[in-house]
Amino acid sequence: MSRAAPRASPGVLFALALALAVAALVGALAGGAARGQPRGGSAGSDSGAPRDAGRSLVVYPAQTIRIRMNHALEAHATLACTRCHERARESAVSADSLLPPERACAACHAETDRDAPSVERCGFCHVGAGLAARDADAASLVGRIFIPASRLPAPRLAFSHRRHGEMSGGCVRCHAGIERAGLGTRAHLPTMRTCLECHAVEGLGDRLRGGTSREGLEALRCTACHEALADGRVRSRFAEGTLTPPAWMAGMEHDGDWLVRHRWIAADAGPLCASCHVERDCTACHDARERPRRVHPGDFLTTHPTLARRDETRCASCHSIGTFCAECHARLGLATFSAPATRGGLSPHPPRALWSEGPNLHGIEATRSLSSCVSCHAETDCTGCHASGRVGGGGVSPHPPGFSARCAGILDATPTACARCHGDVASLRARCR
Amino acid sequence: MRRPPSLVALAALVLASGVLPSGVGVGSRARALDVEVDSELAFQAYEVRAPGAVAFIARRRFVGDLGLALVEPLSSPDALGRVVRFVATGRLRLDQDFTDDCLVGRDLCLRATDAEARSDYQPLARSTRVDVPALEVAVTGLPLGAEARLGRQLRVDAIGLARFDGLALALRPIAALGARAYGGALVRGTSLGGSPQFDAVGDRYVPSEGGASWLDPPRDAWIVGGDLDASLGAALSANLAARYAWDERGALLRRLSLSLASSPHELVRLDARGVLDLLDLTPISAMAALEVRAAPARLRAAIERRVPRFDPSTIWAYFEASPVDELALGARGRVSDDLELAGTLRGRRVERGQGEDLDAGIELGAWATVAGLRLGASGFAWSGSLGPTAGVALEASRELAQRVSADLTVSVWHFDDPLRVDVYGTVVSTILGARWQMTDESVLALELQHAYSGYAGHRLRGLLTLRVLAWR
Repeated sequence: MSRAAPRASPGVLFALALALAVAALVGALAGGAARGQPRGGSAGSDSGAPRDAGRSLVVYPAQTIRIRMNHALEAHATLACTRCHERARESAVSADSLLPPERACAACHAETDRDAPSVERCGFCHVGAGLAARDADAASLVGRIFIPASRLPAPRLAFSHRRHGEMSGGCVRCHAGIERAGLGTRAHLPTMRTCLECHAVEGLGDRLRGGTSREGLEALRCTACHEALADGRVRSRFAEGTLTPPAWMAGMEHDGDWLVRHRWIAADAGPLCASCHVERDCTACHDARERPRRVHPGDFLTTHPTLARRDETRCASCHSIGTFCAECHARLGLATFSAPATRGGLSPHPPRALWSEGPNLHGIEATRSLSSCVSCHAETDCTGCHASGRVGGGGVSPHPPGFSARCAGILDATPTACARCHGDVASLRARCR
Repeated sequence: MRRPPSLVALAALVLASGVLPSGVGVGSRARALDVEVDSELAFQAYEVRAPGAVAFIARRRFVGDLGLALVEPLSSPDALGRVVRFVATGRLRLDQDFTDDCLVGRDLCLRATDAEARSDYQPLARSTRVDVPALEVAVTGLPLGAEARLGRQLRVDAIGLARFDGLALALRPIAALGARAYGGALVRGTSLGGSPQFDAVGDRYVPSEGGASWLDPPRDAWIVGGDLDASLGAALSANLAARYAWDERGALLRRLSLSLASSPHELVRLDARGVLDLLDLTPISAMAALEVRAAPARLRAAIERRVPRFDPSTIWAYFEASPVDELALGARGRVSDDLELAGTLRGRRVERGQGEDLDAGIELGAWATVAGLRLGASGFAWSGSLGPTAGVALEASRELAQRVSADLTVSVWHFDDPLRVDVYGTVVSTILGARWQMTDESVLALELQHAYSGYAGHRLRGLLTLRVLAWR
């Protein structure tokens, strides 16, 4: 049987093409970085997100506010909020714009003469007001003055100011800090923790006992506030990103450790996970259909043996050692049960004098990482030495100490596995106490 | 061997399904009957070679996934927004290999499979696999928090995952108390990786004259289980779960788990969980963790014990396998809106007869955003009985245009195993990715990977994925 034709040439060509593409990308990244401009208005950070104490860009999309305002100014601070935000009392949905209309300002500030506007006059309130360019959008013009529009996307929440109007503590109970702030930004919008100061949420361990809220209300479902999909789940995918749980919620922060931690949380909080996820989100990885880079970093084909020895239970959460691993090793000629023609000459084991004789390293390695053995060996490779003499084995027991004291239950449950090494199960029953 | 026409038709259906939903878009959400279609199509191309072996796997694989969900509200929302719903869910998957596996010269080293021909049965060598991972109907939102699910479904609890054809019932009469029970026939052979969660290992046979080995086709197996959860608010919540699976030869699995969680203070969380194997009364998994959220950082200390388990129908289930204890002390914090740091110290101990193995390691990472460029650097170093290992990874990603982003990852890993000096060394890999969010519902992603190591040479891998999600 001849060896397959070498394929190095296409590989080298591909590597060259890849290297060129990488170089191009590095250039593009560097160039793009130089040209990149932060988004999110005057309060923007390098990430493009306003410095907002962690408010979700998914729940509160980035704003561009082109208004000059100082809430802390005494003249403003002494006014009732609804004096300017006059629609707040009746607003029933979060999409309502509650920005004060011009007339609210004009009650104290002289109204601008729209027939004779000036940059100075308009610019007193409107940041960026200036003489209009020829192609300026007519909707942004007052006379020949260009007034930049603010962009305040609706929060992705169900919320009624009207229903919360009588709440004790007033507006600042939710819009904390606004009374000391200049401009009101996303940083002054309530977080979920603010809501949970009064409301309990189903499935969150009911921070207020009995599943009821401080105000005596029944616990809310997630979709009482968050957008819902047709099947009742929380909508979590948006153009701005994915809605993920906050850091404080039931250990569910989807951070860098989440890949490892999620098994514990998902095991107990399945219904809570199902608020956003469907089964496919589990099986996409655990059925091993996808190969997420977070799970298999770098050149995993090369690095996986070491990682598998270190933490085989992680491998086994998606792969069967006895089928998936063994099957691939068999086809590559690495397993003892590979077709003879495929077997290579390279052994992954140390010399026989160390491995199966002398210090018997294979025994140490097997107890340390039996999965590594199983990924290449068939049961018959072990039974030659470890089966009892009655079935032609060497009689070297592989069982852990004290096994005979607890093997009766195993023998009753799965006698066929016992019979493979011991033959006569009936006589074994007498030895298994 | 000629493929059955029905299979080809099915494959064509899945292929077409990947394209159709992208044109569907999102329609009105106010209809009484809602339909969700989701689809993911991926094409992978790579080659697997083992050092010193003459065989290789030239993988050209197409994976298609089509999901359909129908939701019919059966009641109007109550004051809290609760709705009784009928939900029907189905999913169809296709794996299609386009190339021969394991070529030696012009011959397949293991013959293509025919499940009926016992001696040739190789589950993972089939060129076409079509399966149905989910097919169920459910009624949710019933009084007393009741819901019922009938059909092929997934069960997740501290004991693990299980896919079965059967019935599951859930009840939550009060917010602080819930119970679930399920039972049915275990579904095997639906996992590409043959995950033991879904595929109990069959018997492997090796012909005495050499040649291809084979696995027994999965036997009929059954599963029952349930769990109970109770909560005393943030002070304490508990979950008790049990599961029993068996086939005609005996028990496959008998396990019990207990989980406790407490948040005595809003900045502190305590977790403890354990799984007991009732077959030999061995605690096979135990974990305790303390988490302190001291803004802006989160500190976490966890200790965990894992005892390797094998399918009870294999002899390996009764071999001595050393328990592994691991202690991890980690911190993760956001220094500013644009900089996040993380670090973990790990210690690992393996009981081994008269002695013990000890390992220790450190993992560090930093992620920053600079002028719209997202950068990351992470690394680890590990030493002890498993041999010194270290690696670093540098990653960069950027939005190149609206809805288009690109990323680059370069990693260098070094392995130094004194028992395997021939096969370990340094591995350098480069991954170039691009992602185009075509619409809110559809994403096209491309990934190219190149890796080089002294003993394995060059490795290349390509992955093209189209993902579509649409509600009507």
